[in-house]
Amino acid sequence: MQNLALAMRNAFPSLADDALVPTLRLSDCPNWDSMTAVNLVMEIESICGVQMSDYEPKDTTTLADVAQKILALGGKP
Amino acid sequence: MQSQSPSVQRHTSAPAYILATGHAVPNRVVANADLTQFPAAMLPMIAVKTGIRERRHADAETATSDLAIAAARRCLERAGISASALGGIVVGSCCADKIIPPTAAIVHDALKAPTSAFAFDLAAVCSSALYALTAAIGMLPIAKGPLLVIGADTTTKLMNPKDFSSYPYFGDGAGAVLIGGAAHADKAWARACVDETILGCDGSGQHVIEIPAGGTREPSTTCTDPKRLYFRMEGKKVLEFAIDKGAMMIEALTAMAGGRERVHAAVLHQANINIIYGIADRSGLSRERFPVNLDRYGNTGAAGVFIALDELARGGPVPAGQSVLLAVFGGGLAWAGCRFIAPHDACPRADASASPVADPTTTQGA
Repeated sequence: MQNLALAMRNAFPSLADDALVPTLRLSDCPNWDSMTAVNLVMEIESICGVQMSDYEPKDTTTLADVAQKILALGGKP
Repeated sequence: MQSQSPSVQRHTSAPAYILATGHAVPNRVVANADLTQFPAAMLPMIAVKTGIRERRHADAETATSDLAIAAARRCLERAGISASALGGIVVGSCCADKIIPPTAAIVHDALKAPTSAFAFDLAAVCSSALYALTAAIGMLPIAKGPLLVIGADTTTKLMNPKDFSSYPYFGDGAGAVLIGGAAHADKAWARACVDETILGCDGSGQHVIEIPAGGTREPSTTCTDPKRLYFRMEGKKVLEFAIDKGAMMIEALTAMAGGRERVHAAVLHQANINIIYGIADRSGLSRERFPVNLDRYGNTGAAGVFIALDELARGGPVPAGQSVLLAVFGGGLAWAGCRFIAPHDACPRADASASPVADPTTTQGA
């Protein structure tokens, strides 16, 4: 999940590296809210090569969920 | 973050008088729909989350001082006072034209203020304008004339255009207030009740709103991550802090005014409509008493409270004995509040409101 990890770091600069585990819930990311969620989606689109502007990750969404979504869209998480 | 009570200063110095106000914003209107760098489906979220429908962006050639100078000129013209009579200029801003000199010196030069007039900047992020006003009020006794206090920011120049959590919030602008001592009392459209101010800062929240690099800790010349040169903020923490401190200040200032029925208006930092409504609802004052311009200008940083004050002043007289409360909050995390009182059926001088000041910048005012 190197691409997704990079997208996460860009969207949440103060996120600790050891926090990047598949079970991480997005709501546990520092500064997570509906506005930073848009930043995350934009970062994923840029880094993972997918179009997912309609995707709205929820508070309960985990990193593994996001990775699955990227794979389903043909991208590389 | 610490939760200590803020300091409430009760000055013993003579009161200051508000002689005039003015403001300037860039001509370039940027509507939410114009923010095409973001997914179109997400753009409606901006108005819902912030109340902002459009903002003004300074163009590449326009710096903070250009807006400050335009606001200052309008203010001086409305007061009928020449810049040659000024005793000092204080610019509250975190978006200086240059690291050195202070923006106030650039304004001083453009206005051709006398060398006896001091000029300095004061930086307290979005609280800068009221910190500057408080400082100026305290310095009135040593000033050689009226003092020009300006809140001005071009924050959009310091922002990441692709950061959806901050970029849509902000706009550029400047507001100015001219204050004088007792000698100018007869010209005042409102008396400033300057013996009651609230100032505070919780430095433990210093990282909540920041531009991490570009200063002496991490100079731009050594910064390897360009994103660290951009403004960033933690929205949820800011929201909670702002409503908490804003409501605290309005409650304290309302008590100083003698009760809600003696509050004509409460002019807040124009950051987010949900913050303004949150403070209004907690204060017990009706939302109608909280002027709003963020829908048109966005968060103009230090300028917002003075722009809103100027618009309030243009809107009609403040009834005798009624108070106008001002409260701001922002990075630091700092906050500031103060109270103005209308000593009579005061009304802004109307001579200049209908004729825009001729100005070489690309700015416009109300």
